[in-house]
Amino acid sequence: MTLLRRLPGVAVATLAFLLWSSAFLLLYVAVSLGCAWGWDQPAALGLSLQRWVLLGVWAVHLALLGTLLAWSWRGTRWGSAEDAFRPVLATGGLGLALAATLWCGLPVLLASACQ
Amino acid sequence: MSMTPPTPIRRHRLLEAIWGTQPGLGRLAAVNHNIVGKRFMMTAFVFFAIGGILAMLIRAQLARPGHVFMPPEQYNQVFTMHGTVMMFLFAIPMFEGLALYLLPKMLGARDLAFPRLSAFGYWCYLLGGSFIIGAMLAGVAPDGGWFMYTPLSSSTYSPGINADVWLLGITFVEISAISAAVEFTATILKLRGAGMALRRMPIIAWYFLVTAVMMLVGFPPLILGSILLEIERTFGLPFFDPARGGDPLLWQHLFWLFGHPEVYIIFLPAAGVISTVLPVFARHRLVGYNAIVLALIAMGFLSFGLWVHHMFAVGIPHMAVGFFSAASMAVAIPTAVQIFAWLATLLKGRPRLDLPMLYLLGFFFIFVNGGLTGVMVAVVPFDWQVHDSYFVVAHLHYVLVGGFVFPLMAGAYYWMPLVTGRMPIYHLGRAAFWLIFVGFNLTFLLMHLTGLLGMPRRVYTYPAGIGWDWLNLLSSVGGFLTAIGFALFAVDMLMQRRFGQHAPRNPWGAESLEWSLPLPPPSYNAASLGPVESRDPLADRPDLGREQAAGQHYLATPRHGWMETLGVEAVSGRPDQLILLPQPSLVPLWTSLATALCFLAVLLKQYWLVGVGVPLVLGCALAWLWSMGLREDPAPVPIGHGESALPHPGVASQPGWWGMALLLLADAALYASLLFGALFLWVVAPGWPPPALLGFSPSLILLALAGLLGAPLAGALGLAALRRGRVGACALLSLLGAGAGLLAAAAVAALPLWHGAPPASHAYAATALVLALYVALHAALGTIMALYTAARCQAGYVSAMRDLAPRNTLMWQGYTALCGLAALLLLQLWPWMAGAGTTP
Repeated sequence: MTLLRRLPGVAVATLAFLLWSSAFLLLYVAVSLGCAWGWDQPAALGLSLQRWVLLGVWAVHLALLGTLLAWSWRGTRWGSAEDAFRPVLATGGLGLALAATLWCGLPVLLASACQ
Repeated sequence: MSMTPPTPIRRHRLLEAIWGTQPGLGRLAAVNHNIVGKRFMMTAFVFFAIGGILAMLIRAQLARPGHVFMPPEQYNQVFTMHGTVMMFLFAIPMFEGLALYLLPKMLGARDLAFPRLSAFGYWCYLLGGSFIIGAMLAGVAPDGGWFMYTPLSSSTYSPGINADVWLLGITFVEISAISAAVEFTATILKLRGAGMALRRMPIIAWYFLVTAVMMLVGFPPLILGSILLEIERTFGLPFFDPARGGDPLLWQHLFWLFGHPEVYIIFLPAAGVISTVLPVFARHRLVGYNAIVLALIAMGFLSFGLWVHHMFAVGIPHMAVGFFSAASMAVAIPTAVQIFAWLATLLKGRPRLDLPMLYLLGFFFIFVNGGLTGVMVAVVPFDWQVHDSYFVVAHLHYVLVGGFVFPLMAGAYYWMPLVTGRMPIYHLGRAAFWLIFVGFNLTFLLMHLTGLLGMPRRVYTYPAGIGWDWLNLLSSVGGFLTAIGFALFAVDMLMQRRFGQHAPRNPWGAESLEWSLPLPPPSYNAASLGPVESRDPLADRPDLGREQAAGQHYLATPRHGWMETLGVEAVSGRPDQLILLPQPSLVPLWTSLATALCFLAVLLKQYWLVGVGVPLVLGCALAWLWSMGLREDPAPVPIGHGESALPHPGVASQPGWWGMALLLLADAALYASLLFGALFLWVVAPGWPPPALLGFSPSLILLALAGLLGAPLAGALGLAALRRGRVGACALLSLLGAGAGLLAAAAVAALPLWHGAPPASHAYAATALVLALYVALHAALGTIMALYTAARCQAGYVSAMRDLAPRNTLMWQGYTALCGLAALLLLQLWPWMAGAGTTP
């Protein structure tokens, strides 16, 4: 939390989008490996192991970004254009990365994995 | 040396004597950003003209059905070269030239962080580009399309050297791009005016920074792909051959991992031009600076999640396609943030329709249409319908010409007074605009219809009577109109240089630092470097130009013949060091010539010449590095405004450290692409698991581990000894590290050769060999760096304060150890992961 506030805005925005990248990459890898290893058969509660892994990866990243955004939002002080630079980059970056992770992960709920 | 401040005229003479470039053959040694930047832009414009002529040849061929203007073989070369020249020899280098020329002026510096690297990059670009154009003139130009898809580009289907010319020539040119990216990133982070915090940087510097980092991560996948394809073509190691465990789709992945970020790498600098030029002519400060910076960072990341949208038709599972489709739509949002910020700036201001503004309005019309068709092709079912049709050709030209060429021409008219010291002549520029605008839309708006009517790309002719005739004819007429417009633009530039009226200082009433300089600027830019107290320094100090010329600010008094500029803390912009830049040198030219020799030797299959070229490259690089640094610990020196700073060799965060870190970032991107390729082949390619698995000797693995870990350990101990002032111990430990590196290189290189299948038998063995060679090469280079460090210690260039050589060597050795461990782990786990049981 303290570390997050000490980081320059550009570093926080970069961290936020690195988390988006991590979610994107791991989802893509989980689809590929799950199909290669045959994890696409129903396993528990009607969902395949692959789908559970995908949901897990997606949820962990959303939770992480959501928590960071909440922390960042609480400490945000908006000011003049120059003063608002850090909060826009930090809080805005976390918000945008959260939205992008949510949007890009939606196919986990909507699409078939291995066809 | 007298400390009496010199008069402005004498200061100018003294600075010019230090920073100026010698006439005659001395020009070959030029490293000054004013000269190198202009050379880049001029050369890029020549390549643009060549690409334009090729486009006219294409349009002449397609003007009528069944036309026999040129045979299909030649047509293949022409359209391949058109794309290659425009993408690799025009767009990226033009950005590099613009940034080289503008960045120091806009940041308040006297030059870039690594001027010799700029010169080296230019020579690589010129030689690489000439190499490709020379091949075209010799009739052996690449002919497999600008993206060189396998298997068409494999040695089976492209047996000549045409594809090799592309693979080697483009890789050579990419050296220039990586050099520029390192240069720009280090410069933006470290070489700025005093007080220019990140939040106060000119907006275009943010665009250049994001673009440069994208280049560091985005270009290595293509370099890797080119190396792998060249190895496959030359030595038969299969990476893309499905009969031996390879997969042609791997090439598409590697190419588009580069290719889609490339679109943004081209667009973002041009958008930076818009964000700089538009507020000046709207007569209102840019609306949404902070939001734009955030949008840029978002685009920098999101653009790496789009590459598969070029591959929607290859049969990728729906969910994976869905991820990339979603990211392709998401990236429209940060793009739209910029468009709306520009529109808001126009709405809040009092726009005046000067020539640069006319080109910006042209940009809005064309680029927004290109963006909208981009959203259309991001929708998978629509993409399946128009894939590989002229609809896609139209879309990409709307995006690239609208998003790059029009803003660039606005920028050309805006900054030409800075370059030439003369104002534009309006009538020709307006005529050129209307010719280009009408011609372009006639060519490409209709091409959307041609595509929707089913005409595929890259066909050299088509039958009459299927509805494509008149569309193609009009597209060709439009193409020639566009070409006339560009020719008029070139004439206008020449006329302006020759006949334009002399420009006053800051002719547009802009508020950024480059307009504080005399027009055209001298080689050292500013006689003293003014402080920066806001985002609009000339609004705060309208007289800054005169104050700088009068020597009222930083670094006003030349001393010791040093080429000085300020180094700052990356975030706050407080001065933290005095950067001493290197003198003009022929070494960059010699290094690029030696590099060219290596590429030519591989192209002509004269491999013995590589044995000559590589030592020459290494020798030049060592001579280059050896000539820099100090033999005594520096003391703080006055820099003006009552402040003092240490010369950079005594500062930890000096540009050289950043240069190495950024180079390793690019290197890591290449290695990550290699690991991706290995995993991709294993998961997706047919013919896996491989018929034979490699067995690795445990003793070799132990030796490799000892070498890989021993080298950074020795380096770390050496650095610790240096901190205690024991330079001799540092030298000895560096020698030990060199020995460990050599051991690692030998052991790792021997690993895949020790037992198992020949590398040409299967992609598994081939990939294992490349992984091992990558690590071995890095360990060997680490050895050379450790030897260099030991020699620097002995020669007195290293101390507890001047520790760049051992620190950078340690960084390299640590990186090599990490890569080595990852490679060993993968090689050991691969057989298990492939489900093929234990190793034989």
